[in-house]
Amino acid sequence: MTEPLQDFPSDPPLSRLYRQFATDEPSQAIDERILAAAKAALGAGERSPGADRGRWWRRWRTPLALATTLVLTLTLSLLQQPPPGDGFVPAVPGPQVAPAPAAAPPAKFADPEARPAAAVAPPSPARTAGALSDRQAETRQQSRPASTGVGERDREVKSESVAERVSSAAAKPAPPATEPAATRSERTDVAPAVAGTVTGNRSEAPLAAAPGRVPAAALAKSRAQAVRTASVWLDEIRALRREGNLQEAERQLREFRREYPDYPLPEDLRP
Amino acid sequence: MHGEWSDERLMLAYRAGDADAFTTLYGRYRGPLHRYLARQCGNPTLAEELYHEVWIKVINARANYEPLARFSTWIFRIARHRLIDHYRQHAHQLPLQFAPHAGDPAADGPDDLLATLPAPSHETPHAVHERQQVAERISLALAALPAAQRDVFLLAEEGGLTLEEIAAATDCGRETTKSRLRYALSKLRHSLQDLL
Repeated sequence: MTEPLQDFPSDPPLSRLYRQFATDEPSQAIDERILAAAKAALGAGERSPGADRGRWWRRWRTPLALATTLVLTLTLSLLQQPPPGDGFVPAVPGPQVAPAPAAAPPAKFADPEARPAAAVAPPSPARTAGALSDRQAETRQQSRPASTGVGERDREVKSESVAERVSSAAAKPAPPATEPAATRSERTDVAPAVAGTVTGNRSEAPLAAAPGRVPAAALAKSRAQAVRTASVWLDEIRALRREGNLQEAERQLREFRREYPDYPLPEDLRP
Repeated sequence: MHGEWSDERLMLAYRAGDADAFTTLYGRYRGPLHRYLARQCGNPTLAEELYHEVWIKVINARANYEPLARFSTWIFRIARHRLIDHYRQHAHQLPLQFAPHAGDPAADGPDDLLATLPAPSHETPHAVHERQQVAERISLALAALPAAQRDVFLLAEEGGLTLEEIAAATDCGRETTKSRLRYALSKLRHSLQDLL
């Protein structure tokens, strides 16, 4: 294009003569065929299967990716849940276990130090009672300046009575495994009372008002506690028999079988 | 609007889906491309068939088209390759008497298939008396040229290509192209001297 004209061999008169008589052109029919092919090629390009697949994939890839992620997340979370219990899990009686799930989360969130004391309350009442009594005293001192409402004071009174009851139970010389039956009936009351005590001064209301939000870990822990409670109860019955208190042992056994009808009794306790 | 666009822009517009751009582009090249093929192969029916195939190639190549060179260079190169392919496929049909021009320094060697092409049948003396005298004279003069010289002349006149573009399209050097064009012009002037 930038070629110098003098370098390009040319003959203007000859070129003029050639162009003057070179007028033959293709037929109209072939013109129409080619133009139709050109338009058809554009239409085919727009409707090509590859393009359709591309559009489909572009439209659905984000929802599909989200759905896949959701399914994977749910599957993994279900797999990560702990098994409901090791071996036999008895039917959980209402009064014993129901407060435990409500008690576990507040203890965890309200005061991390108080959680062990509340969690181990059933198997070792003496230790729990000591810890609780210390805890209650501390809690009272912490909450007293801040609490001014009647409800707070009522909760403190209740906490004091519970702490005293637990302390008196702990003051008995009997070891935890040979705890008297009366203490056991008290202990069933301790769990809710402790829960109320520990959480009463801090953040009891929101979590207690939503029992359906109990975490799965707390639920599993409460089930494990129920299993331990049954075994401890059986130990207590054995202790009563060893002490010669057969009547009380029989009564405790009947009560045990009423609360745990499916629990297989050990050989030594079978009638 | 399309009439002011360059060939390359029209082709890019067609690639983007503008069918009218192709119509404009086709209108610019339908005559020159057809004449190039018709004068090179000498058979009107075959010329139309090749002409159609060249445009189909252009249509199918639109997706990969990039304006690396002028559109005219590109399409005439396609036409020339299609012509060579045709004669490679039908080389056994070429009569032996249509050998390359011996002793012509501007004619290519035996590897140039275009050099073996016969003169257009409708422009042989047998059909000359049915046409107008001047057109017949021009056609005969072109047919009498060696194929390589005719090729260069037609690419320059019909395609408007420069020496470099013709050299690239014919896969030969610039000076060779220049020499072929000079010989072609000289022979045509000599044949058509009384018409100029």
